[in-house]
Amino acid sequence: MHSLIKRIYDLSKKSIDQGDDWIDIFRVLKKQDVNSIAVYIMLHDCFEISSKEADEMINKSMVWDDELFDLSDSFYFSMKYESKSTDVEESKESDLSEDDKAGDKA
Amino acid sequence: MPGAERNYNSDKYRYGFNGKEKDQNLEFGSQTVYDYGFRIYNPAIGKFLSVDPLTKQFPWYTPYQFAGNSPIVSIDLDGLEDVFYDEIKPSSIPLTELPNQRVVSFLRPIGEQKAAGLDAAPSSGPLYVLNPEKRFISRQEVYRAQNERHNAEINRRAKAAEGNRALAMHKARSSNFIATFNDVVVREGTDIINAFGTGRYEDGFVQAAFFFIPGKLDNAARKVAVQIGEARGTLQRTKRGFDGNVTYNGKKVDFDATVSGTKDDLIIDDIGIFVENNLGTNYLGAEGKNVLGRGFPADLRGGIESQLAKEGVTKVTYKFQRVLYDKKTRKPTGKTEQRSVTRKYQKGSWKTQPEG
Repeated sequence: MHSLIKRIYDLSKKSIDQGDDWIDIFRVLKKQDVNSIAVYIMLHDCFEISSKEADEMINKSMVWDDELFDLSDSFYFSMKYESKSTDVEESKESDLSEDDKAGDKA
Repeated sequence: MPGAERNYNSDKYRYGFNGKEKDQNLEFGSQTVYDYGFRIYNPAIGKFLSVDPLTKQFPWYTPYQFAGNSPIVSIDLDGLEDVFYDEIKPSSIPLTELPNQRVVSFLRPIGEQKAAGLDAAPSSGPLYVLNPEKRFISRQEVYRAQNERHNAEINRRAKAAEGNRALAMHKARSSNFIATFNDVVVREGTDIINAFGTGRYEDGFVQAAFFFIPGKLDNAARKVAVQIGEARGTLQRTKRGFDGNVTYNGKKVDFDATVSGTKDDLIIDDIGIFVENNLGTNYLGAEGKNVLGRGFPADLRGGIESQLAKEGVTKVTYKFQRVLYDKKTRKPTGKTEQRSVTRKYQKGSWKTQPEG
């Protein structure tokens, strides 16, 4: 686990256990210049919150509305803070539609 | 007893040809000219004395034309453009399409207008009757509609040019890039997010991917299934490279990148994400994560890396051209900075290598 993710996870876990709201935790993290991707990874990987729900929590809080990111930043930080490695799953040729298979032959 | 003398061309009467006010203090072979409002007309030479202010909108006419060169069926209302005298006919031309049409309008005495079932005329200002809606619109309304259409066209072309500039940047950055402008696929309303800028391109952007593994170009094109998060899509390798597409969070997403290096040290640069949606406004790059969700980059990377592992790639370095934003205006400053992350494939999984 990336050191930043571990640090904000410990902080968040402690706060949640004390009964704090996520919005208050987000504000504290924001003051410490933690970006939304790191918070997303923490919610998703450490608290096992679904990606959609984690996104909604961050968006609804509006804490990171002023964040100046583009997609390359998201890529960069998603790799930088990643705690889980990408396991390679075998995809099957049968996953392709018939049209795709026809395209292959062409 | 001789009858009273009748003179139908009295010099004392102020109005003459086309009902315009005469001005008899000029030369040019005639002592009479007509003030049409926007220009002065000299009947002796049958021309206006100055260039039509609207000449750029009517390139098929000489700048000095009178009544659209059709003085039999048209009059010249105010020195700008011809106005047809015509009967009221139902037409399917909506107001929004006016700029692409010659404006068929006419002037009639108020009594005839009412007899024709038209709306009451405004009390002042130049009046036109738009046939399909049978209502009066001012010339200003016509020009406003023309200007809006004109500006929309200018914006559309500017955005297409923006797309082409992005393409040129891709080409410049990658010696492996083979696609040319002949490969451009027009995709109306395609929003594009890429590593160095964003924009909505109405037309003119390469859809062909430029993602390929060096040394494998001679292989026949093939398409493999790829899973990106919960979304399943395809990753297609052509002679030019790979083209991926999935439907992610309900949105059609195409992605591409520039690839160079070897299987043992692959470099993926300039990852481009293409999103189709129905938004009427441009994306900012900063909104990309809100559109697709913060999990998309990791999911996309997982899908790509799954395929890379099958290709025998053991190390990959992602390079990012990061756009820098002005914190006050929240707009791109035009400056960028480079970042990179290296990942290795070890024991069945990809792991990010420590920086430095």
